[in-house]
Amino acid sequence: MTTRITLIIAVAIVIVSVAVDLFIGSAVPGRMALFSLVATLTLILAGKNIIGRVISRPAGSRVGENGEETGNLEWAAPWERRDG
Amino acid sequence: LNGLHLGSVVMDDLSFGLFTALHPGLVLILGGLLVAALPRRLSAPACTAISAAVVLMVWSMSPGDQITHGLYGLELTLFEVSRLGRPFAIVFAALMLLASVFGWTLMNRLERAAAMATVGAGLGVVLAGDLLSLFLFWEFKVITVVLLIAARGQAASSAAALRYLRVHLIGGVVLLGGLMWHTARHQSFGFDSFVVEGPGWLILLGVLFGAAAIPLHSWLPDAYPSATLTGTVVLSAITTKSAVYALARIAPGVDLLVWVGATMAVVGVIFAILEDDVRRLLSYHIISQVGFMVTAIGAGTASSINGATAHAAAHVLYKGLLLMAVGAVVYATGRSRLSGLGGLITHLPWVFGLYMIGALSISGVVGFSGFPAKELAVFAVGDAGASTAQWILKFASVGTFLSVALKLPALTWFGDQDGPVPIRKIPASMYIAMAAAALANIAIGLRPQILFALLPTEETFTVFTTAKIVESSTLILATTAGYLMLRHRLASKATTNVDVDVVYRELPAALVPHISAAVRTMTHSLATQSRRVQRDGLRSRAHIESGGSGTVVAGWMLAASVAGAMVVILAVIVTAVGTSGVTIR
Repeated sequence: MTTRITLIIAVAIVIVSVAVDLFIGSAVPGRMALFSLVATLTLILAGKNIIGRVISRPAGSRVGENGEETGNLEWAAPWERRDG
Repeated sequence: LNGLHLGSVVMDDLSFGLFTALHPGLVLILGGLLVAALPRRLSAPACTAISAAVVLMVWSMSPGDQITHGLYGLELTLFEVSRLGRPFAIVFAALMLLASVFGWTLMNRLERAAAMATVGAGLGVVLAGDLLSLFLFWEFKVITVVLLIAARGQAASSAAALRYLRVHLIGGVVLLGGLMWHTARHQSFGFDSFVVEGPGWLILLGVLFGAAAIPLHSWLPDAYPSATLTGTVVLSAITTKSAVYALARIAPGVDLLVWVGATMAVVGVIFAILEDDVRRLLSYHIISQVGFMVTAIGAGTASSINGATAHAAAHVLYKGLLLMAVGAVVYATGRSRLSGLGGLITHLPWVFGLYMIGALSISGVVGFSGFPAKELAVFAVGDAGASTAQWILKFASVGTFLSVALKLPALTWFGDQDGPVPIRKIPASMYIAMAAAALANIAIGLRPQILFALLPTEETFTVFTTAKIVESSTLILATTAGYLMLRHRLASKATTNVDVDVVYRELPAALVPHISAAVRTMTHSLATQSRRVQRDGLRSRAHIESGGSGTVVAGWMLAASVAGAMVVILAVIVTAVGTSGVTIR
């Protein structure tokens, strides 16, 4: 699904939500649709582009971290061997 | 039989029967010792059997059941069933049962014993009848958690266990200092005597360490993923939820907690969105979800305390399920980074289905356990007048759905696989535990009264209204649309995120050369006066583990932490004596 189609869907959700608002006389759906869209875009764009740039480092660069996957295929084995 | 004296034990009410006269926490702790001593083939069934018995014990407890012990002239209420503590105790025990099944083929005897003791200590906290009893179980829990983390048996987990111990030693001493000051001032350990002033703030700070409040939180995403797969499940249920219980018991309605909780909810979710490691991602979400609970406790109404309790209980179940499901992925693939996962839908479809039940629950989707719990908590926060905090929680809810229900499953089950990965067969016991947790989440989602019946006060909150269902559904739809627009930006890279743990991870490492040099100079100076002193080892040691594992400063840093903490406690005692006029003999 292309970004353009998704954008159209997002706008459609907001329009439908506002229409439902007008129909039922409550501002809940339209308000929540707008709020959720803005929150999502904020979290992704600000989170990734601003905060992420400040705090993200290459994996394994932190002191005390082994720099590899948390485990490997043998990772459950030591105690199985030890206890068995 | 009321008031019957049995030696130093006073049974205030034996009407609840001998079965529940035993402390369920102590049964688990002693059961853990038994399991550790049994042959391996018997330890798994024994662990599950004891856990099942404890579930029955806890379920049969009634509010008001109490056992008081005499100790050195003090009256300790180690066991008291409160309306607040009972729901926590029930979900703790239930989680232990699930974990015992999940870890049937995974856990060794030491890990099993540590898990049982950890849950036992957690039960001790939520069933404590006074501040001192709570503190005793609280600190015992720290020791068992250290064992549980270290039980993974790798250098990284031992280092994480040491860091956990260091942080919680400081938190524990702050708590103890506050408790002693409080006792000197009020001459009581009773919960009723707690006041948020002077020592009360110190106690609150000690508890907030355990709740992983920002910026005291980084021990959590450090320690939890370092434990074994089952260990993480147990830790997720017990440690922060014990703190949530303590906050609800001693400090409901403290305004500061509203903002502490709201900050936790948002900061946790931002870190989760950026995280690459699946277990760290879910660990950050624990901070975020505990933020919801802390905010509700800060709101301080009967309904918001109910909301915090309901959310804590539901969280134990859905977070347990989520961690079991990603644990199954890690077990099957040996990988825990999203950047190294993908395309697992054909290999682990059932795990995906079970994971999604947990993900929809934590997101508060209609029909799953998070919906009634989260709705009650968030609604009660707004109803208490904290509407700004309420919107902050809704903002965090968007981030929760985004990262747990969209990003993580998309990159794990549907993304491009990073090369051929041999898939290890998942034992049936893991599926059974996940299925049981999933059923519990669906049952609560469809019949919220199951959960509401356990709450501290009667709850008449109507869950299934058109407005609430529409609001929840709109949030899900709009967030999904936003994610689809920008999903390429959430493609995971093999990164690690710097958190405040950088202070105690990297600062000591940076200081080691300087401190070592200073100590060497001092030692050399002393040596010129006495060769004997030099031989006996006043030389300072800084133990450095390096070479791929980074740098871990052991021994002396722990001693420095304890020494620093002792200074704090001494200052507190001196202040307490000075301000209260009470002489401590």
